[in-house]
Amino acid sequence: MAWLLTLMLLIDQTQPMLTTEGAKRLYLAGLSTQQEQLKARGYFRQAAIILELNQHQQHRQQSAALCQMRAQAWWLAGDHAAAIAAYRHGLQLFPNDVELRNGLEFARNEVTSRLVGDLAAASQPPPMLTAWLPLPVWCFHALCGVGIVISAGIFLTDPSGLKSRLISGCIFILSVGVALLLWNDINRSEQQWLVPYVIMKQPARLYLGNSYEYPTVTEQPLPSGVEMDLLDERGGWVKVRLTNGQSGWVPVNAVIVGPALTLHTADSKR
Amino acid sequence: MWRLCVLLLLCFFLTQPLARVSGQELVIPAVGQPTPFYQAIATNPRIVAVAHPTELSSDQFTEFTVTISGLINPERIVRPNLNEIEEFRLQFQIENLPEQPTTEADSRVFRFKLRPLQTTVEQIPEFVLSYYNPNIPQPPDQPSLPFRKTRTAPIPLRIIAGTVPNVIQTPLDIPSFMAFLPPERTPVTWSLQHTIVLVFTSILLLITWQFWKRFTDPTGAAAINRKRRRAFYDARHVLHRQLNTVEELHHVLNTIEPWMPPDSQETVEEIRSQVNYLRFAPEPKQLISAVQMQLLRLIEQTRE
Repeated sequence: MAWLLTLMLLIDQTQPMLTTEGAKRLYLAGLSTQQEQLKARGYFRQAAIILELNQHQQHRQQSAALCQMRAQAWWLAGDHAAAIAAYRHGLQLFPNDVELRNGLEFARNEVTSRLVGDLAAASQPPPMLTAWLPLPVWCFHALCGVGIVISAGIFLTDPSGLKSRLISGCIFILSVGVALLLWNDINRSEQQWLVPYVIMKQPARLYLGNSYEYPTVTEQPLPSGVEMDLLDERGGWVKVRLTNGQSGWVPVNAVIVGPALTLHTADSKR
Repeated sequence: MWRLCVLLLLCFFLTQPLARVSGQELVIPAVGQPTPFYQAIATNPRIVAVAHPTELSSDQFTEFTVTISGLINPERIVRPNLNEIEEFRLQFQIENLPEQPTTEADSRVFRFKLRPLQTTVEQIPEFVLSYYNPNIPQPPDQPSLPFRKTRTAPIPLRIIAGTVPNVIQTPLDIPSFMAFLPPERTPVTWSLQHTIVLVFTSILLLITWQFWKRFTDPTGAAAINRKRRRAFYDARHVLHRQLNTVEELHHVLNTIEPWMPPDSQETVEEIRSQVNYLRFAPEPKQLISAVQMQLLRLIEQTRE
């Protein structure tokens, strides 16, 4: 019996942990050790790292639930910047997912709620654009097509009639106009996640130039989790802009640069 | 006896470093000073560094002692700031200890506490002392010539892993929506149900339209009017060309004749006879155009 138990234990230990299933087990282990903060954070960190590795290897097979789990694991591990970056990456793939949006809003509120004064105003995240009618794009193509067909049909039944011309013209303009407006709305809500951004990984000050010799822009260091627009990258420094319009330079090792496309480009340049 | 005393006094003064008498009057040139510079003046200084212990954990301090001797102006030396030296700053947490008193008049002893910041630290780096040698001239083209350097040897260290302190475990605050694995959710895709709904809706719309037509136009008069307007529209489109052929006029007449009101039948017959005449007895083009204009007038009158 003892050898059988030993064999089962060995088999269990040789199971590959670097999979999504392994990450889920670690996440559940973190939840079960909630009373011991250090241990729980360790489990969540391991789960988040495994999901990050899987995400880079299988970036086409990600699901919204996996993206959400990765972000939550980073948050519970205590890395707020990585959590926000994971939420944003998930929204880049699934722009209309409600759970990811709610999670990102929660994380942003937690980061900014502890700040007061000028730092709070400077650290406000950019507003989140939401589509009024989040449908797939092909729906609006179909609406356009149907509108054109109906208006053409009405026109052809009586081309000389003013009434038919008016009705067909109105239907045509209405269908095409509504489709374009809704498509533009969805496009804007999707494009917001493709804009290059920067998230503070550790507290750091903004400088006027790309060196410590320049004077600082902010008196206090910006806390981790603050999101900014990426303007330029030079010599190991990145130029960023806060939501209040202030811009400055910060060392690249103090921030997370995104979206993932920009990061890969930066990595290839290095 | 007095000769012996004088001789002793002469020996005493001659054995003192020459610059000690004038050490307090020596001025260090401002040009050419290296950075960092601790205001040391010497001709042949000696610097020794020791550390104890050399085997320590990452949460322990080692006492680092730097002894500088052979100085001309020991009382004016500035305490070195190890935080300004990058090799020290990046690898160690640095704290100053009180200076150790020494019996040697030309020496200073500086003590520091160093704690390694990483377990990969292998040695305490060398400490470089820049000093001014007054015996070396300072030519205008080489202002840094009298400023020399002396250094200590690196001190190897062995860092062992520190012990984890016993901390009171506090529970982790987990928001309610993070307390379970996120459920799998798939984006909406086109399915059979969508197709059925679309087809059913289309049929329903078609039936509704048919009923609406019958309700608003039970006799079909509106449909007949539409067809008549379409026929007249096509006829006018043909007749508005520069010059029609006889066959085109004949075709137009056949198209519009069923839609003509009874009181226009006489005019229609008249035009038809003219067209038949033109078909079988070719005439100058002025007659064709006259018939064309007649037809147009007839259509316009009927539309009004």
